[in-house]
Amino acid sequence: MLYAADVYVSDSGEVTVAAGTVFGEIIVWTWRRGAEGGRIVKRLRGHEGSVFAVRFDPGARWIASCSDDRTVRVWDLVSTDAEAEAAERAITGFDEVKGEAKGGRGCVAMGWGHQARPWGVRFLPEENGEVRLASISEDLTARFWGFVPKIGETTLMETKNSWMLHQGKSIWAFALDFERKIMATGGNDGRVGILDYSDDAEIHEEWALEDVVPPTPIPTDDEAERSEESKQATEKVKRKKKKVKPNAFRGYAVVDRERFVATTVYGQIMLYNIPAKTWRLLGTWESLKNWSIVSGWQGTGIVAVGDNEGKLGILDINNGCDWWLDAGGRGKVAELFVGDTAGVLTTSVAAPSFTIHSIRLQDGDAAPIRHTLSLISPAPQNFSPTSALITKRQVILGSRTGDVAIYSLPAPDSPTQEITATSYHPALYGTDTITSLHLSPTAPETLLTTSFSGVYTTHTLPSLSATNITKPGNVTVITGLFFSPTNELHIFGFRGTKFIVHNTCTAADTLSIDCGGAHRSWKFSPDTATPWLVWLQAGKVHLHRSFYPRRTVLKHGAHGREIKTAAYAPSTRLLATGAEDTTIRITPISASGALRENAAVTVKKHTTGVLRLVWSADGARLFSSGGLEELFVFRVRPGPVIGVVLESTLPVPPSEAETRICGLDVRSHEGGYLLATAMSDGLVKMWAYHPTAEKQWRLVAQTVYGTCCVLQARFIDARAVVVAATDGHIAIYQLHPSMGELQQQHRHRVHQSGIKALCITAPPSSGAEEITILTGGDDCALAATTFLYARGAWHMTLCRDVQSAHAAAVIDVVPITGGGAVTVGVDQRVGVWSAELERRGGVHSLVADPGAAVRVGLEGGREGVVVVGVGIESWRVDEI
Amino acid sequence: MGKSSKDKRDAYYRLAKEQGYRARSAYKLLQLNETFNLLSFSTPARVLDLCAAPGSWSQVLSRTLPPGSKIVALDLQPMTAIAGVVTLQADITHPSTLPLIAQHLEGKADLVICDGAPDVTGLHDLDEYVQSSLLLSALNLAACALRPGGSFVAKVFRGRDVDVLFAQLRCVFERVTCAKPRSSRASSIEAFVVCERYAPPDGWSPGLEKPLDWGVPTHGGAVAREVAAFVACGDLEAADSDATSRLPEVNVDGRKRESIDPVQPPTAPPYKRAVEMRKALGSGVAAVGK
Repeated sequence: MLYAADVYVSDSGEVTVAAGTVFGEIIVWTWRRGAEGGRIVKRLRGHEGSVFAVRFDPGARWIASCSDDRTVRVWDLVSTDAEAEAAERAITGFDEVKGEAKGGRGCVAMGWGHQARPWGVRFLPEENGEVRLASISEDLTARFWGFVPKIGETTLMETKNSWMLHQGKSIWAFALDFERKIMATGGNDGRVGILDYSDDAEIHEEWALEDVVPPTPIPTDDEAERSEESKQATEKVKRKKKKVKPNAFRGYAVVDRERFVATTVYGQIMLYNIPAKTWRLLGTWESLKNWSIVSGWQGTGIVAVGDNEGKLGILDINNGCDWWLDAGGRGKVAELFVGDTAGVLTTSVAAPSFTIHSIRLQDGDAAPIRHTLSLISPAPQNFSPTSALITKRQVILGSRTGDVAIYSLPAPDSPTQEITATSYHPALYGTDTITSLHLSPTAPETLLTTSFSGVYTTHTLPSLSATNITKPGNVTVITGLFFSPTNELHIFGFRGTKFIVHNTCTAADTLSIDCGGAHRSWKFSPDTATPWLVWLQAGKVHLHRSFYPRRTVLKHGAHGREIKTAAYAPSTRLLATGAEDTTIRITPISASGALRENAAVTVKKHTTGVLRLVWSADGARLFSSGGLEELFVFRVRPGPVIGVVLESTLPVPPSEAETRICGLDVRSHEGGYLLATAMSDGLVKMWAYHPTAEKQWRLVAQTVYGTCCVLQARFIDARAVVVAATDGHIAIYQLHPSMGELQQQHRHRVHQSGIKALCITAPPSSGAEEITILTGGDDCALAATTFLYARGAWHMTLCRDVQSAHAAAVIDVVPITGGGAVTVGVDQRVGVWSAELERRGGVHSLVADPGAAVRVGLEGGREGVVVVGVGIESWRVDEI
Repeated sequence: MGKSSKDKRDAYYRLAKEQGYRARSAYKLLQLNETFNLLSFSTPARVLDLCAAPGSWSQVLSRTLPPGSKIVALDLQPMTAIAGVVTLQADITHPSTLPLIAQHLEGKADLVICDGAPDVTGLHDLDEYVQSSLLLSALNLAACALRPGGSFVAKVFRGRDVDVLFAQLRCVFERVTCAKPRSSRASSIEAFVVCERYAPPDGWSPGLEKPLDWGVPTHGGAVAREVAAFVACGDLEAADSDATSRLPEVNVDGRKRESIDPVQPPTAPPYKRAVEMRKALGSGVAAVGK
């Protein structure tokens, strides 16, 4: 069975075909006009899994391939003697390759690196004798490879660069423009992204210490040995013995967009000017030997330095002045944080208090005016600040163990010498280091924090109650965040060995630099125009600058994996979709039925696939359910930027949280809400939810449907619920007047197996006393069951069905005006039915693996249906 | 997912381990048999199991068929031996496989079964196409190996154009049913075609040299479509593969319940070496090749 093929036509008209098989073989055959049939000329063997893509280079010198074995390989078509093996193989399947992997006969290069299946491979133009390739993968990355071919040998290819470009799973398609050096990629998330991969879009520089630091006045051992030592980090032991510490880079501070300073172990401070590419020694200070801590007020040319004698240095770089002040602590300055204003905070090791210095520079070289204030530590031995937010009014400190302390500052002319924290929150959201604190530029009294554990959180001040906690996953260690000029929130930090900048609005990495990982000294200048990172790696200072826009999103797309559920709020025209990728997206829909993807927001809260979404009748709240008994309530505010805040979580004892909440319905009730949940363990539960009550959740009633999974729950009214399960039955439960007991009133089998779709319609003529329940089943059938309410109970009066309504499972039934319905099946057909279940029309849908459908109102009083699955499609009902 | 968590999620996974089946899929064949009596032969039968590894369907055959039955199991992967089953490592699309089967079956088959599926890619069109191709390969072989009146059971993905496949199967079998055992998850698009009473059209001689193409053209030029009747298999009282069950704390014998290991660990995946490479390189995955 073939998985992949490519065709090459030579100038003489000979056609060569390369075909990759499911058994890891690449069959090369040729055909010439007039020849009776093709002739197999080569069988290239070596892949240990199905071949997913093959590609000729423009001269048909090489074939590139990628496979289920996760490798990318290049085969030599000219020099290989694989012809000898062109004969029919004796067996199908894989040759067993023992021991170390060999590329296979004719394989000139092999590359490992993709963490999941590579789907495509292409040649890039050769550069400096190097053959170059690009590949795309299920692991969401595109990789560039390069190698210098050695005939008759398999070279291990190097990853030249890799980019994470999508979310969810799989990049399926890519296209390259070699002239403009841009690559477009299309992912399973429906996004089309553009990447500028030209070399001049990024600049990388690196320096060894001896390249930039002038000969040091401090006597040490002979030069040769020292430089040898600084290269060999493994010789630390030797160094200790001699008790001579070689000079090395220590820390960095951003001066402004174009300059940074670097400190050294020998007490030097060096300034680098990026556009001029020049290093300059600002000075050498004895007190900065072996210990220094440095930070800058960005854009002012002024840098603060803490030394090992407890002094705070203020360096005015532009004017060549420096002043040294008592930092007010004990021993060396342990940490130093600069504020937005002229404030700087210094700490010392395990100190009972921290010092905030307000500094005002004078004209010329006159010493600056300083005012100090002590902040009493909330927990002297245990509160070790790792981040600070300093404004004129307050100081907020984050600690190594996840604590937060807030100080309100007195008026500038107040005689107060020391203050205590106005509030202290030990281990606010866990014990991981708080790496940065920021105020939101758009929302007042909103604090954002980032954590070493890869979480960023939005809080309301002063209570610090969280309004949004997000763990994006793309950045596993978050060290900071910034807002772009258009107020898009970017987080930055590390993923593996890479430094990553991630735009949370587009959920795309905007920068990725291989710097070796988080454990090193580094500084990032989060400028959106030309961001740069300076870091230490293997004894050298590295500088990486990038020029935007490197990445743009051409089409936003939606979920990274198939959408399972959807809900539409007519009052706000918002469509909520929930997917297997565990995210919820809220997208506005225009009056014509088009989705405004660029205005959508993504909500990451579920830890398993989202199973059901329901809006409150007024569209102000969204209820979502999933696996692990997750049920969340979000408050949603429409607007140019859709606001989403988690309001509540259904409390579940963690030990019992194995069940999936498959079915969910919500209705307004007595100032709050009533919820019905259908569970995978066979239970049906009814909850009362009151957002403002002290105890928000109350279990009203529960009942055991059976041992099978209950798939649907829908309110008929505040007292009756209809449920449907995998056993093909529907049942009606009525809440006993005394509340607390759900009584089964009716149960009968409508489908042969699981009921995948259920909706309730009430014919307008007969009032609310008669309802019809439309169901769609895994058995391909569509059914309509009519009930009448009489003598305090619901009685079935009619049951009709259409067997084989679809060629596969019916996954949703949507009522339309006039009593009819639209059905969507896994056979990718959308059907329209009359109230009498007569087929009115049908179309093929392009949405694979459909998960749900919703009805939307369109302009001119028309009706539309939105089908979700792998992608989203909207139809006008009158055009189906 | 951990072993215990899988136990809770899936009653059949638990049951398979307890009853010594190599995979939970054994119950799919057992439940298909409950409805279609596929394995109720009064005399020794000849049954061919395609894409058999790891072998749970062959296990069902060897436990269910009358003594003296001939069971031949084929797969590209090597398979651990099963009592009463001849296991062959062979390609179902290769012409040389036919005489091999004939030699071991000693005649035409009464039943051909195939539970094979490719590794899904996540690209639905491709997955459904590959599954259809696999089914077509199985059908080609079944057409050569079956006696007239014999049956054929194979896995299908019920997606777009599955009705084309149903129409094609109807050309060579008198009855084609789309069956879904309760042990097959409702959330999965997997189902089984049960094709009964093999009746090759007059003048048609099947062969692996000229295998069937996908789809049967109609007189109008379009491809024929037919929706096969759907039958849910398995007792409603049988365990529901979609339900979450609460595990008993203790076993029947009163001892504390412990999760059993699977009968057979999964076979070596093609990316085994890639995983080893990554381990060897430590956590610095991105530095591969440096």
